[in-house]
Amino acid sequence: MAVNVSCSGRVLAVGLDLTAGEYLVYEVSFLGAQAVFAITDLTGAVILSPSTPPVTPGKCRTRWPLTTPSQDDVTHTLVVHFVAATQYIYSAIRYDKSGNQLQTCKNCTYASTTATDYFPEALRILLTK
Amino acid sequence: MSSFTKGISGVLVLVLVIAGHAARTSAQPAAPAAAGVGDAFSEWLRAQLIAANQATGEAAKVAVGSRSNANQTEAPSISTNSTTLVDTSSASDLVGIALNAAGLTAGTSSSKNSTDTTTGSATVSGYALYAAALGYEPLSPEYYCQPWASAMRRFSFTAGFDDGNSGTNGSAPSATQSSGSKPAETTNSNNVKPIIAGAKVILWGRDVCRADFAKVQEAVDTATTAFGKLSNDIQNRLLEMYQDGKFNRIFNETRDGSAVSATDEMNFLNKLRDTETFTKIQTEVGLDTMNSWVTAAAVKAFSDLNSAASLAIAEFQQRPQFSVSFQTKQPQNGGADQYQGEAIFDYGINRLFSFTGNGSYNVQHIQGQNAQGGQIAAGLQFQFSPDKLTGPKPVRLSLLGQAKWMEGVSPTYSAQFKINLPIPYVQWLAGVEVPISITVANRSDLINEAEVRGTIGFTIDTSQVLATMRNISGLDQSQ
Repeated sequence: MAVNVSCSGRVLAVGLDLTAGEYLVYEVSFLGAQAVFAITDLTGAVILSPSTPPVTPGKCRTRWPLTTPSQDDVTHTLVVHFVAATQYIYSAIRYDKSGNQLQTCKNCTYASTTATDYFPEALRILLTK
Repeated sequence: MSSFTKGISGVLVLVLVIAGHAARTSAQPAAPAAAGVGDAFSEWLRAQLIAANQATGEAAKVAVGSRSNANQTEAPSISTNSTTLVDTSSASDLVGIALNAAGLTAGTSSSKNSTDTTTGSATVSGYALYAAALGYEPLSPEYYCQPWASAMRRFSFTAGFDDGNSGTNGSAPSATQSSGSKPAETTNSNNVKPIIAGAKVILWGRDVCRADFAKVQEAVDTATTAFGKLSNDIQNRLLEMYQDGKFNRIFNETRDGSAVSATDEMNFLNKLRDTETFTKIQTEVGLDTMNSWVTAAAVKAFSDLNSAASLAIAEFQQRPQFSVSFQTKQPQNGGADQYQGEAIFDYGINRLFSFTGNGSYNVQHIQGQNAQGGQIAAGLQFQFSPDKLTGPKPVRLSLLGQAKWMEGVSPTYSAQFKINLPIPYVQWLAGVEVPISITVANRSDLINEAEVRGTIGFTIDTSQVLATMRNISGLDQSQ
């Protein structure tokens, strides 16, 4: 069965002005027994995964960047897998340095009851630094 | 009111209670309220990977957790009119309901009375009771894998009834009964017999909360990076063409190879989400050319992910389970009280065959005296295809055998052929099945002659229904 996707925000690329203190917050929550997902960059570094300490059971969150990255152009990709979960909610929000929300880059729900289903979603980030 | 009508009414009340709870617990927002936002570029890329992977191997789409074929929704085997001779080791995550109506049962003419029984049962897990009492969403990860939740899912409780002319109140003296043996009931009364059962899973190999999906996670990590690289690489190729003016006609621009600002770059990339624009770009570049950009490395990463998931799921579904149960049936208007302590073992031989074995110690108490006995039962289940976890479970065939001994009574040997028929094509009926069985026995419980009996019923696994209804609702963009 295909993965059902519903998004209220979904951009392919976003600008992030690090000189102005902007940052992204990624959040993944799920329904099911176990989450299997990852957000990685192009070097394979894991930004968010189930091994990230959850903020509440079933919900993981992280802020990016924690240190200034060396590249000007990065891509962060999410893959969710439905082996032991039936639904994921993914959000990537851009904030200013005061914590005000500037843009919803991703706000999507992915659902499937087929255990071998997965869904990839990429976000390209053009940095000003 | 007939026994059949009473049975139907009871089940309907139970279904309404569960449906009400499901509606309440499903009320949390599952999807954004706004209309779906598409992304043509990502969809094309995903489609390319899926198409490339379809040729690389079979994706075993099988179920986990709530769809385990070791979860019993049929009435327990102590029921006169159960569609199964063999009990399985675990129950539905929430509530399993079974009804086998008297009017749906056929027997040989000589054994007609012994089969004119309506059997109904509802099995509820300790977890479902606890979650309902406290108003928890039972399938939420916030609760589902908490240690207390896993512990409570090990316990299940069944309440049911046999209603009608039944021959299983006791056993008649037979030609082989020795003098002085303990008395057995000979009454064939119209009698409602409540059934109570409790079970605990001791060895729970198929607890999805403790399943090890580390290898799937590793494969996801790798595939995630591979998808990012592929997406980035293709976007860079398109950006280069955009800079060179290849898409000037599409965007009504006059680019000539000079540098593109970061803002223009971002705007161009986000225009790739639009289906019409992306189609024009595909036409301009050439479909074959774009498809050829999908790298073997990315295809392999997702092929490896499919393999890792398939293997993990197959291993999970074949793990052994062992449980113990206690069942009792106590007629209201006289007859033998029956008690049964049972050990149950399930083992997945491979993805299509599974084995179940039962051994039990039975006691019948009547007229102040006990008769002791035991039974062993075993079954081999076959399904034509691995469970797809989408919609109904596959059709399953079972060959079951049972040998039953009781003091003062000749042994009973039964063989059963059973088919579990799902309701096809209707998503929200995915948890509903019609089990049909044909049983051949060397003797019935009341008469010492061979018996052939056909039984048909229906069962509902509410955890499947709830999961399916949640997946159907609220998601407005199917991809």
